[in-house]
Amino acid sequence: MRSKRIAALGFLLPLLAGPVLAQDEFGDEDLADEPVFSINGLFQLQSGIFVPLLSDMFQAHENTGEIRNVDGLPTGEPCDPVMMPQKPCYPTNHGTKPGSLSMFRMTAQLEADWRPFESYNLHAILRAARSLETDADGMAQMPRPSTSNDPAKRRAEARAFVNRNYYSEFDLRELYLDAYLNDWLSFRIGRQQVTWGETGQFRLLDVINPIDSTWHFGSVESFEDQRIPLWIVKGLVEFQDIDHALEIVWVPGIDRPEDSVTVPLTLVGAWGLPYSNTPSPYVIDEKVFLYPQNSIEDTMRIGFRWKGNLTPALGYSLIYYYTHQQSPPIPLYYDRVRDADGSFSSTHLEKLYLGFPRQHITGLSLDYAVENPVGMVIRFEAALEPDRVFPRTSTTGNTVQDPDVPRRVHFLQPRYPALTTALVFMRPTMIRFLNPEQNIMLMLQLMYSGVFIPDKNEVDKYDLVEVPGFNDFLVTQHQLRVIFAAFTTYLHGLLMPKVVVAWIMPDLARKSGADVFSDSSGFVSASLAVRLGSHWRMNLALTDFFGNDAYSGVGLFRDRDEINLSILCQF
Amino acid sequence: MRTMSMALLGGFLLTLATARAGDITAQNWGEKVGFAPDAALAAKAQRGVTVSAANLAEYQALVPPGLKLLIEKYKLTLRLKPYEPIHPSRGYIEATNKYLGQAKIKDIGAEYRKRGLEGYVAGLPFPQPKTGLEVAWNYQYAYMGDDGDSVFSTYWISAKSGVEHKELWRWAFIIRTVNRTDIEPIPAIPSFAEKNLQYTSITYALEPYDKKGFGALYSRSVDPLDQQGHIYVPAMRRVLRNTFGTRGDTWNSTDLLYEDVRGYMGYPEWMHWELKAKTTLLMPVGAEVPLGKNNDAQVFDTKAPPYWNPKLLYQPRPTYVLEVKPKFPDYPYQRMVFYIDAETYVIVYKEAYDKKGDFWKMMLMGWNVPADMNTHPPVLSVGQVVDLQAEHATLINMHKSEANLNLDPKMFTLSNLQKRGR
Repeated sequence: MRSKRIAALGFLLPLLAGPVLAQDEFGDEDLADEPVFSINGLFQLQSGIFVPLLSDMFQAHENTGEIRNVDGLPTGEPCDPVMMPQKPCYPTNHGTKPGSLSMFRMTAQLEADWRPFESYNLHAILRAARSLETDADGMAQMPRPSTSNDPAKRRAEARAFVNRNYYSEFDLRELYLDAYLNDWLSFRIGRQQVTWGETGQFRLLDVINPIDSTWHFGSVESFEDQRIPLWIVKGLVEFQDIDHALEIVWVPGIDRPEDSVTVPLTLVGAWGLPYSNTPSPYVIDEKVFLYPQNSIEDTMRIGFRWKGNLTPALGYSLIYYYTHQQSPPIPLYYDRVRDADGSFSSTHLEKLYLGFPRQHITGLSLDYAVENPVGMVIRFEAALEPDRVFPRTSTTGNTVQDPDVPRRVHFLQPRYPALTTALVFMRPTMIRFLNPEQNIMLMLQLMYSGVFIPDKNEVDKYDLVEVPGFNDFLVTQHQLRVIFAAFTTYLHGLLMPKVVVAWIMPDLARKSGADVFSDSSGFVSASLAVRLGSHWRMNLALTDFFGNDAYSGVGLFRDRDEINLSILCQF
Repeated sequence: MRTMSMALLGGFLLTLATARAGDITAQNWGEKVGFAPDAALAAKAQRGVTVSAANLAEYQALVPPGLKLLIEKYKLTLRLKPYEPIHPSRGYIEATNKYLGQAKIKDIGAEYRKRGLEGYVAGLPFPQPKTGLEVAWNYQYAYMGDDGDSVFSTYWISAKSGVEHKELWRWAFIIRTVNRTDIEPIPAIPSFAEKNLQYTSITYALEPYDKKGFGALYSRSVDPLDQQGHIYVPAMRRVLRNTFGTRGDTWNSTDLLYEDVRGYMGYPEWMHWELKAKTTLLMPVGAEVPLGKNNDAQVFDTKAPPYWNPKLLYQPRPTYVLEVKPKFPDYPYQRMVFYIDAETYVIVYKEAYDKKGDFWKMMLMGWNVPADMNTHPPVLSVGQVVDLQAEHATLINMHKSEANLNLDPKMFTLSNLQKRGR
């Protein structure tokens, strides 16, 4: 989809390269010069299969559903959510077939830097990627559902939808100019990624670029590959005498509208959301995503970061960003179908409109290096969204008739403050019986998320959900997540094992005692990267998702345990 | 009366000697700050002669134990050249004279977080050192110029299979943010002095692609603390605070510990230093390494087993031999032996022994003589670390290495590290 728009720009690289290819790699003899022109690239083949692992005792989950009666009670009659995405089919599980492909992607990437003058640098990344359809893509929930009565055809249409929209990429991902105007003022202008925040496994203040969630499960891949670059003007004002800098980011909003937000997870197959176990009471002919577009007032985003060191061991940053809620899309209003008798149907919607409301994000980070023998870095990060909008249940009564459009009904969307904080401990540790030569980097991240709903709005605690359509996945008021990661190298960097464990507790406002443990979810990911010379890299990863509730937390992915292998050649 | 006369004469001579001790010049640098090489031994080193396993016996007295092992077992050869005196810049000599006698060692015992030197301003703190610790401080403040910038390749070598991996890096540093002798402001850059920082550095990877752009900015306190700094991780597109040189950590999965960089990047306070010998040894000082973009094949023999032998010139050098033991209980080396050049006070050769006392690693640093010794320091041109137990080596070869460039301190800021990243 992106290919047409930027294909012509792809020719820019060789045009840039032409005049300078003959130049010395290091420019002239002045050591201060960077390479005048450099180009690198990679080819990568990555594939995975779904395999039930230890948390499932190597047994597959079944994909089942059942019909419910008008009172919402189960009838025991099986059904297929793909065929009946709305009532009365209620899936009780969303098992993904073991042994089927979880992904198969070929990626080619070229990256070039051209520094014709000391104060200017042009950078470009061109990426082409092609993925194969997977069986799981048949579970993608298209904005306009198939009208076929043939289950196989409906799945095929869903697979084709995913393939058409997300599995072919030819994209000038990055193209920006660095201009160092003087020793305190510089600009980066163009399509780029801007990364704020200090924590790695989850994005708290890393809020500038949205995510392409079709790439893979987010936490097991580099965010560099998943972020969707945006056209941005970034200015950096340095206050070198005090070791501080002010970074100002302006996103004018000239990107493709759908690139300006995170890809809705319901549109994605293998790594998206399953059909809800609490389907909407309405048949919905089409979901319309109202991406930010059309006017600078609607699309523009702006923010700043003030970052610096207070002492050689203590640094901090303060950020503010005016943006859109990038995920999930929020149901805003719907248009009802008029029945034959002229009245509006109570079960059939023509269109459901989902949007990405405006919001403010503010936050801070602190990092501090503690001397040996403690010898660790402690990071703290907090992101406050003072006016976050949460989706309501699909059965909500908190709606209001549009005064001008009779068929249209609006959801009453409250805004509540949401706070996410993380405390990270990171320590390179010599554990000589495990690795006599190289330290093992240990990382522990404690994360708290809270949504502050006043008691006077008690009803909202049961009418707001985390994911639209998942009526049982109620808004999480107080949640703790614990992430542990460890990685090291053996044989002088030849082998690089890594383990990540994420434990996500349920809403502590609703669960306590033993329920906290039994209703937790998470994942364990173990990988082994192999460096084969300077050109070849291989990575084998096993990811085991766990969670008793298949429709809450990371339990949504519990049937997607995966073995994944990537082979990369770089130059 | 006679006794009094003798005492007065002695006092006069002592005064005269003290006055003259400060009169160090480029011409008498070697004898004033160290000692002269043994003339008989030095005479054996003639240009064109090569020491190999075949004639090693003839040069036994001039070759340290680790190098003998490399010659006998791994076919290392030493091409010889006559001794050439080396002296530091005019500014460094002037500072050595100016501040002579001011530096005093403090007894800190087994403590390693306390500053162990007071009164030091600039130049060589202890001409003609009497103890291992004085030699260590001379090494700590040896003449390196005030700043430098380099591009170097790093090779991972297996004695069995040859080159495993190669990376290209750039490393720029202000090695003397304080205690400066060559470039104004002398003796200190105020912004660093205020923070009690003696060193700052920025380094980043140029090749291969998956490492390219990785950067590190770090600084060292005057006090013997851990290095502080930040890294830029391209895959995260993020600058992160990091602890550097956790004692005993290897650098970049090589055979080097962080402290092995330049021979020893730690503090004198972290170790016990014992002066074992003053001797004359063949060392790659004035190694005549050809710098240049594609010089790797000229500097190392990576084609023939053990794939790590350097092609350097060696000359007889006056050398202090020090036995060095860590004050840390968990340090990977039980002890080290440093071979420190008595004119330049750089580490040229080093041996490290494991916890069991077995010979583990040897490190060799090749130093070129600068084009103008009056203004520039010796050029660290190659580094070789061999893990003799694993039969694995790390080779570092400078493609470019320049000093006293008057680098802008603003280059070593957090925002610059961020700016350099993708």
